[in-house]
Amino acid sequence: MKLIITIGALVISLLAKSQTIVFSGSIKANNGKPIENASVVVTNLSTPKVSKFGFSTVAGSFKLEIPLAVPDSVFVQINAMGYKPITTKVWLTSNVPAFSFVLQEAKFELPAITVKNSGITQRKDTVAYDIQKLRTPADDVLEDVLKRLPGIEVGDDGSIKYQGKNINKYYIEGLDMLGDKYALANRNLAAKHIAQVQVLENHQPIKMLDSLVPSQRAALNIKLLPSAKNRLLGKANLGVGVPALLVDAGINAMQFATDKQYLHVYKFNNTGNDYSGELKRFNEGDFSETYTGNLIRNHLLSIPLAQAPLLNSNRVLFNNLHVLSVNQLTKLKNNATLQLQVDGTLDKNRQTATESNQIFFLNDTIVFKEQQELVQKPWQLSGRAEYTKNVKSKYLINTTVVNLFGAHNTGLLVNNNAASTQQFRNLQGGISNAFQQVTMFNKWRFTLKHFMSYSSLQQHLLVSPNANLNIWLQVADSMFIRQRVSVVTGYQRLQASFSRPLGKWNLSQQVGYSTLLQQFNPNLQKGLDTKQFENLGRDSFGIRENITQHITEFTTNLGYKTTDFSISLSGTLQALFQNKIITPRLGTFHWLPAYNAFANYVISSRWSVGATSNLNQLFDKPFQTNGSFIMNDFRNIGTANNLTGFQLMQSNSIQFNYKNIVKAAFMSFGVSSNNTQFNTIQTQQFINSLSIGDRTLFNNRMSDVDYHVSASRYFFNLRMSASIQTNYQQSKTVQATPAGIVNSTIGSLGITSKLGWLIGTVNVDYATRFKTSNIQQSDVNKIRSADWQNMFTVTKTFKGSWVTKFGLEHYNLSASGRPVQTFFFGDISVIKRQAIKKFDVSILWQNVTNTKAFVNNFAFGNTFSQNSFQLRPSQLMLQIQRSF
Amino acid sequence: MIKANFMKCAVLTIIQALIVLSLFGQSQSSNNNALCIEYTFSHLTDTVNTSKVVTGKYCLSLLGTQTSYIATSTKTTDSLMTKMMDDPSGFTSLEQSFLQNSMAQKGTTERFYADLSNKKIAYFIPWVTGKIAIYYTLPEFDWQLTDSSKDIIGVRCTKATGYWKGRHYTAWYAPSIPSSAGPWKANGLPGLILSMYDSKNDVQWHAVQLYTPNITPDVSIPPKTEVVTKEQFEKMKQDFIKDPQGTMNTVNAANAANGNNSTTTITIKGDGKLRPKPPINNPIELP
Repeated sequence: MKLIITIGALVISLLAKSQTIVFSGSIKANNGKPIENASVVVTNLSTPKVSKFGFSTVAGSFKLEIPLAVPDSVFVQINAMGYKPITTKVWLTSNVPAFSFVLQEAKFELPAITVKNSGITQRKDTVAYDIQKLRTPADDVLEDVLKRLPGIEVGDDGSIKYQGKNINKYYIEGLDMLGDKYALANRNLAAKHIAQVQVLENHQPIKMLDSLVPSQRAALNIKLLPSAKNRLLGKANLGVGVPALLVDAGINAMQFATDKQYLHVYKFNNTGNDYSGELKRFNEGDFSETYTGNLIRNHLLSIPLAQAPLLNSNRVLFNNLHVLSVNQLTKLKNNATLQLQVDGTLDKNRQTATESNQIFFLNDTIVFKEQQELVQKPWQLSGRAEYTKNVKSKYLINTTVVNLFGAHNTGLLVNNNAASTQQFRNLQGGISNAFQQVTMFNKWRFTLKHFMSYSSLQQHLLVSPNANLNIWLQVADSMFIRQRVSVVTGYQRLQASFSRPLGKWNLSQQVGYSTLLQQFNPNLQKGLDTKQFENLGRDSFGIRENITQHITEFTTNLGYKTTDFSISLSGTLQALFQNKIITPRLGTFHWLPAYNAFANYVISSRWSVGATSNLNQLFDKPFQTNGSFIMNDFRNIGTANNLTGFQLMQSNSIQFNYKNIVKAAFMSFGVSSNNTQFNTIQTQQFINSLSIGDRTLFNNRMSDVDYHVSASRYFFNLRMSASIQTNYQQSKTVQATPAGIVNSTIGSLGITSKLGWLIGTVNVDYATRFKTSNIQQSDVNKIRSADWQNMFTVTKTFKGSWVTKFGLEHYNLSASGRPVQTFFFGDISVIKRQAIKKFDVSILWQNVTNTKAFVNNFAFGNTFSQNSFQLRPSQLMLQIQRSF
Repeated sequence: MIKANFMKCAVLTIIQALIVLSLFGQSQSSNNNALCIEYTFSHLTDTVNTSKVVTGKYCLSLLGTQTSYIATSTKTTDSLMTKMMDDPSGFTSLEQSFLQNSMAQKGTTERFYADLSNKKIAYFIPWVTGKIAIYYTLPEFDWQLTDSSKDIIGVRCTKATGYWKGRHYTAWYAPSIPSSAGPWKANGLPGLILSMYDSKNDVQWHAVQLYTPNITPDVSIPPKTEVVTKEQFEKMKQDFIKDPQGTMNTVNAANAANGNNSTTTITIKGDGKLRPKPPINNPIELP
């Protein structure tokens, strides 16, 4: 029996042995050298199941015994470190010959790169910054830390760029509560609560389109420390100071839970802090809709205001500002979110400046100097409700926005010894609703978008008797002049599109139709006093216009997306029909072609390149094509002569990006060009400082080219961050006058660099900006100007939680033929931190080295201005802050 | 004046640019086929007392088909020791205290050097008489591949199961990283092993960092290492246990011949007899 079993087992084993195929061969490099320890993996054709695997020997040979149960045809993958892997289909037969594989040498790149160092990590498309490792004791709020992070740039206005491009979304714990109003979080959320700042590269906000529609921009996601989640966070602060009574007070409260988030802020100050910047929206949705619907704060009329200097606001701003922001996001049961926001600002600010203008023409130069004393009382109240359902199978968003803007400004302007008092009032309101839904049927995606809005604008500008104005208007010298305008706009747009993915391709077609009804009522009046006015009595000063506008559009888009490469090509054709109900009735028709194209290519884990090319047409809002003369301000009066102005904007850019996560090093460089072609031009005639504009048909071009390099790095061993940005920009403009065309060219080289260094308990921050410009305005004015700015801050932390901070700013402004201006500003603060009671008490002395006025130079087109601004006095503040 | 300003700023920015950009250049010098992986390791050494868990961090360095597997603290100590020997004057007080700290850290001192092509692995032992290495054949884990996959530190990994020396292991390997290496003695999968644990979770290795090193990693046994057989090392151990001072005298004599007159004396507490450490009841390699 035993013998039978033994013989049986032997036979079975022999049979089993015979039912295998020997798959053997050799693996060599392209230079003939055998490759050792290369993996040889045999997988079935239909499933990814591995049938057999092995490795090459030192001589580069391999031998695998594959069971016959494996299908005849299999995939073989040969892989070795430092070589490009190959995958090939092989027929397995009983007498399969020996194979010879040749691998090409290739630099080994980590797959879907995951590299980790002590502060920055990358996981697939997400770069994560460990904030608790990267922050310094000098960093109070999130924005302070963001400014140190390599690869991230924070603008003066709070905008954020990653690798040179604006971010497209901002999330806190994965939820979009603020709707791009992210400076509010960055300037109120304490850095001590943040665990990570994640950059989601090439972020597509609509989950349904994630694998289909490529994106060039990144999003930011803020991850909190576990101790900061699901609990009330915030702080209250009160500061009082001298001279006069200075107050800087505020309270903020926030909570971030998985199903609910809120962030509420109220601030008031008369110390020069411009907190209204915290409410700025950095991605305004579809710009064309808010623009066309006349929903943006729009000052058709104004009191002239000198271009403000790029100074810290608490050097130059005399304000009384209240800011309120209420934001809440609730996660609903069906995976949808409801976002509610209310924002309000109320301000009373004062600006005292002297504006010296030179306007260069072919044979003439207009020179005038003006002293400006302005009191502005702007206010704003906005409400927003947004319902979003953003899941893999469905996308639905409905946003309702209500905006109210108002202002009551008064000014005293002294021009060539002639004083003019002025009064400006604005009341503007708008309501809009935007709806978008993406649904899927089989593999087809259908998108429906609808936008509707109603807006009303009422403005008036009252000017006391003014010689230049009254001469041109042919009214008595003693007459007051009042310009009133009202614009009422109703707008709606409907777009429908369908798309279907074809492998890695996606093709979509979109049709749209929009209609706009607008009523424009301008009225230029004269009066013997500020109460009683009568129309000027000429048609050209008050033509009431009822305008209808219809646009039919067709867009086709082709996209292709793989892991490394994506491209998107869109072409749009719009048919615009405008009908003005005036006498005689005026109808215009235009074809408006446009295209948008971009491509991204990931060259390696460290290098990528992106290119864009766009052609867009921006046309005037119907009321801007007015046939009446409108007094925009007491120095500018003009008419559009019923001519619709078009801007044909063509732009191209290419940008290379580099990142090395191990070294915490980021770099981007590239070139972009913008060419704008206008179909009309506003010719300028002057009566002293009064400009009279008259629109005529004329093809003119403006262009600019921008070369930029940006590099940043964090040195972990030194705890130092360094960044440098350089750009060269050349812009060309033209200005028409009755005497002919004036060409202006301005070439500017700008260099900005920053250094932040933590040395023991001392934190040193240094930033420098340098800009030099060659200005060529007509043949008359050739100026070379240079602005150099240095900012130096030292923060020292002592034992016992004492912190001292010393800041110094230096400005050196020069322009050929003009005296060099040098300014120094200094701030000193001493803070005592009571960590246990969460109290901070600080004394702050601002504008230590006080200067009465600041002078800056400003050039645009054929105008060169030198402006002088009154500065805030030296001020001393005592502040108490309690965090919770 | 404008020119002077421009010059000042240009010098300043060029200095900063050099700081930033010169170090961009450094990052290009990494070796094509080199890779470092840091693993966390945990081992329940006593099944009776479950609080006895040895933990540590290990670094697996790859250079082609050669690997080294060294405790992270040992690696730091080694590099500081090398610096101290090469340039004593440039050795800062900070580095000195760092060295003392890292030498004082307790933890496993296991150190392996593997040659994946020749299927050899060297166990490195810092013995009293000097550095010793014993070569073994690389263990075979009898891996069975499965279709399961998941991401580990962002790298797609596939599951495999295997058995060696009394333990059933689960390993997650990265097919996209073509190396048959793994933590400890693990090897033989068609991709780098990023995570491995036994069926009882008594022994675990998990990758936490993966990076291309800036300098070529040292994957060879250290110089002046004596290669012995397992039997020879057993004899050396027995000789040392029998007569520790006799072994040290041999070392002292060899040092004196090389001009080093320092002598080492061994004092054994208790009855003066040296005894081998008691074996742990749950070793990684079960009998």
